[in-house]
Amino acid sequence: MVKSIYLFSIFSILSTGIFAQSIEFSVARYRTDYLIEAGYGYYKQQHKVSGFAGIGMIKTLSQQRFNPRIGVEYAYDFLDAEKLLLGPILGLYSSTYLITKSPKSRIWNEELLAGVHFEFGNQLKFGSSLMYGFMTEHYSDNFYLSYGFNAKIGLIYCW
Amino acid sequence: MDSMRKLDLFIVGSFLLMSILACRKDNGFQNISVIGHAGNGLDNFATFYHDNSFESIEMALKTPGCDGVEVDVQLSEDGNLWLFHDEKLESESNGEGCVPLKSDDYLSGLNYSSVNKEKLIQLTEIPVESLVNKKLYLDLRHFNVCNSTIVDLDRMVEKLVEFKSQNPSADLITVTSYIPLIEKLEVENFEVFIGVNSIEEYQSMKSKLNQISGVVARYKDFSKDDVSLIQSDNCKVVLFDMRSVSGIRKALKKLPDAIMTDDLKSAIIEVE
Repeated sequence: MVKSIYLFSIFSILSTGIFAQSIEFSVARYRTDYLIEAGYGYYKQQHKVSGFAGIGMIKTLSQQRFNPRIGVEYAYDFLDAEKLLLGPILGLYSSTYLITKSPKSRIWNEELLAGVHFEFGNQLKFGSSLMYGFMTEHYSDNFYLSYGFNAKIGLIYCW
Repeated sequence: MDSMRKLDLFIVGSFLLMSILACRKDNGFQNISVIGHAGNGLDNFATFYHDNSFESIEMALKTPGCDGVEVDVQLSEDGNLWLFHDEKLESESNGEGCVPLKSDDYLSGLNYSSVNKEKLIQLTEIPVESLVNKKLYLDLRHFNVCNSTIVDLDRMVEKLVEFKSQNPSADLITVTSYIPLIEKLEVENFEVFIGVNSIEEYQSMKSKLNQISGVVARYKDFSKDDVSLIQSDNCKVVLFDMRSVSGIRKALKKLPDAIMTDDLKSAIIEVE
């Protein structure tokens, strides 16, 4: 289901005329870890769609449990000034890691978050977003629903 | 071109930072039990549910690698055992006053002041089917701060005996520092761990009691030597108050018998 949504997002992006592109590097705090991530963004008029891949820093680097996280974001910039973009943002994310060595202990987290973002600069921009929403956790036959959040800052290079 | 160089530098810098941050985990902790503090953790925003709630306890007990949970037990006005951590209801629920002065009807209508608004539950509502081969630590609250009195200890022990008889497969450990309560629990063959704040307090308690099965203490208050000294008395040591990976590691390095953690999944990863 999640994979289908990602594929649909990518095809939606490719079917539109690309106005500008960007690569992005950011660090973020989300509910279960700190994140370092890289992404690729497409701008068309006031719309922006981005895809990200990253790793949870504490789990991956310190605890040696690979904790990848991927996500897609859509942003609409209702303020599109010369150097400043500002507007609402919606994101869908998925991450996973193993607790024990057993494959049955693999935890999956999905998040659907909404919030605000801004970008400041010309070709090299500073970006930040703050998001809040739903978060699920599931493993084996267990499923839990709660809230999640994401506070992110990063650098964006556009061309 | 200048910007591309900056980008290259940023990428190289990121990888260097990752290499510096990476460090090896310590091994040799596999024999240390991991217990969920107040269910799935207390005062930790990464926890999904409020401490001592049904949801929190169930989630902890179903987590692979979790060896048990600790819960906080208080006696209601009607003489039943309720799970609640704080001394006063208003600090973390929509109620007011103290559990020992409130009826079961009143308490059953309350919920925690959390996003999920979990309900307060009685000890008997713990999902006992999840307790097979798990330990259940019962932190017994004997003091009523609202009127500065001791609760009815006989009634508390009576209800614990009833719970124990209804759940013979549960591995129960009671936790208290109140000697009159310890004596009553020992008569009923409960395993009793004492809560202490220093090695001096442990030694003082040891001189007053015949045998101490175990000690529950904040990890910052006890050194590795203190832990070792207590264990040499054939007494188990459970350390708590770890809310970060760093704290969990510091506690594990003291080689206790168990850790009672607020970040259950991180602790399980560390002992693996």
